[in-house]
Amino acid sequence: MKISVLFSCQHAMLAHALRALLPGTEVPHFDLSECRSLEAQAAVMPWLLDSDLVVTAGVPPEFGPLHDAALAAQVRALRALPSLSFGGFHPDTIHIHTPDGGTLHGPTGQYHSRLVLGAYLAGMMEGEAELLFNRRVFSRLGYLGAFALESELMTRLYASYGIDLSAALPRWRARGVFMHSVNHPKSHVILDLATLFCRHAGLLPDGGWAEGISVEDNLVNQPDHPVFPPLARELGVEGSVEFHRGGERCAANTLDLRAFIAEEYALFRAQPPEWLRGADRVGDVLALLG
Amino acid sequence: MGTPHPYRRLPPQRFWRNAEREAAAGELDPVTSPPFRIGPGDAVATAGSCFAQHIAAHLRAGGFNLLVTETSAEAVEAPFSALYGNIYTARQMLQLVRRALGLWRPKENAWRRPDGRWVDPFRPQLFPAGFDSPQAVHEARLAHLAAVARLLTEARVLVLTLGLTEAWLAPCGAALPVPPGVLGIEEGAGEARFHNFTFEEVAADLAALMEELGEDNPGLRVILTVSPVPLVATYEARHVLESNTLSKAVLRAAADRAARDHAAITYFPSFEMVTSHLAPSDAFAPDRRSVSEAMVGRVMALFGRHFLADASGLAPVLNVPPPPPDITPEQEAAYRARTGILCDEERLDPE
Repeated sequence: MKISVLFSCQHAMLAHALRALLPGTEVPHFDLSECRSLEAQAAVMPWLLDSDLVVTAGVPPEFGPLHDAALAAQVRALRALPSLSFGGFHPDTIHIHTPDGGTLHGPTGQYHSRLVLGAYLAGMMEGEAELLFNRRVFSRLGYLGAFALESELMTRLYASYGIDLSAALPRWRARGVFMHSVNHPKSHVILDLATLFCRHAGLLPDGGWAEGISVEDNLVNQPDHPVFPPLARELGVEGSVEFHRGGERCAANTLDLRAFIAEEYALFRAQPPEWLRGADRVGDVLALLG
Repeated sequence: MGTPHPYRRLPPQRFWRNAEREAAAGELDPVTSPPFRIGPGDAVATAGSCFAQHIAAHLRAGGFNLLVTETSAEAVEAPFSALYGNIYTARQMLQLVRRALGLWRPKENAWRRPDGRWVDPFRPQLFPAGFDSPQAVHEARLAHLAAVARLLTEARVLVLTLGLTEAWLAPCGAALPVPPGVLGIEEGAGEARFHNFTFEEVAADLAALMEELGEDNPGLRVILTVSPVPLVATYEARHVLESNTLSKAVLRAAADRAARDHAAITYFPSFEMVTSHLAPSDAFAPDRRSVSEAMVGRVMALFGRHFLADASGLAPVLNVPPPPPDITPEQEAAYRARTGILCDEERLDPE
């Protein structure tokens, strides 16, 4: 059997998980973010047409022939599975969209801090922005309730695709921080998600979890933000204020809060303010800061 | 049968004749059993007017965990939990907490002393040598506010002593410990105006303070006291004795209101021990203003008897899970949109 995976940055881990769960299955996988050009789309298409099943993260119309509706008419079978996003551990992390449809890159890749951006837009000095990482501010911005909110949103989304996360979520929670960042799950999460997907697709019989299998975690060295101490205390996990630039986990790729704020401020100063003001819920921070 | 006498079964502590007997025997104890005990490991922070320094010094001497998150060889030597100096009014304390949480930025930045050195308007006498520049004041203040934030997070108990209602407010509303003119400062100082906080204002400030503190550190217990030290001067057009009585009455009433409204607050009656009719004749030093060392010792002995214990009596802080969220269509749409964001990073799979 051949299953093609056309997915978000989670494509490789999902493919590895499917291979591990379905021995003998060939699983080519493609990063959707690299399929924006017509040439790339044409290069991917033969693989998809030659597959028994194509798994996509829900490809939007701007991807032309790879758009779910167009693709479904051509391939043998297509199933959509949402890319896993969970901000319960990182409610301060935001993407800043640029007018060309991309996202603004900074010291931690696409990830920015809503609080730091709000502090910058409010005219706070860098040192003052550091003060905002406290429980009171987190509470006011809804960060302390983010875990419950995101759990509900994620559960509802997957339920709408026929996948029940009600047993998986407590299992992930028991293993501590199960996300590297808002859209980078740890490999055990992807393995469980792949298990649920296979059951729903009739590729695996009902049964327990795939214990004893480990999937290479190729998102572990991507940029990430820490679980800040006020939230970590609330969730009973280890907190930190160390930001990871990406790459090997070493001092050279680590920023403390002060250094992170300094680099974010330098980046923001170089951007048109109107790009920044539209960022997700940054208005809440500005309202809080008066 | 008539109505039972409502006072008949009350404990002796409720009757003045008993209090008078206790005082005559040197055993006056007006403290009602507090709802918690402080163990040697419980971090206790102190703040407030100058009487708070006595409390801090005695806690430390008694082997208890006086939380100190900021020290400096340049600062005057005093047992402050962080280098905020004396905090005389509830407004000053509220504003300090809001500044430490990043939620308020007063316009008042630095004052220039007649000797050319710069000082922090919120603690102008704490660093006798002053600072080189307004920037140096600002940088020291950021480190200070971070230390205050740590204090607020790490403390299990905050002993807060209310000192004054008379205050000087900067044009931005900042409550100042002293007006700049008192220090001979003219340059760099805005026009401060006199304000005498009313009961309603102090009560509102304490309520706001508890909201800030409670949301930052939900397990924090607050022991409120009112300083027995009289006003050194009043700016009201009346005798200082009259102003002192009003000021202490307002603070005492506001402390009572706060303790009634907030389960986390316990009132400790040091003010009553020192200033009541039943106080010993040596309660004050010869200047009739400073509390005598002997009296401080008696007050703190009672504090120790009622609040301190070999083991902590503070309940562990339990995280209460938030109620199930009500999901709005906007939240659902935003979440779905987020799942569609693609990483533009370099290829993630080495294959």
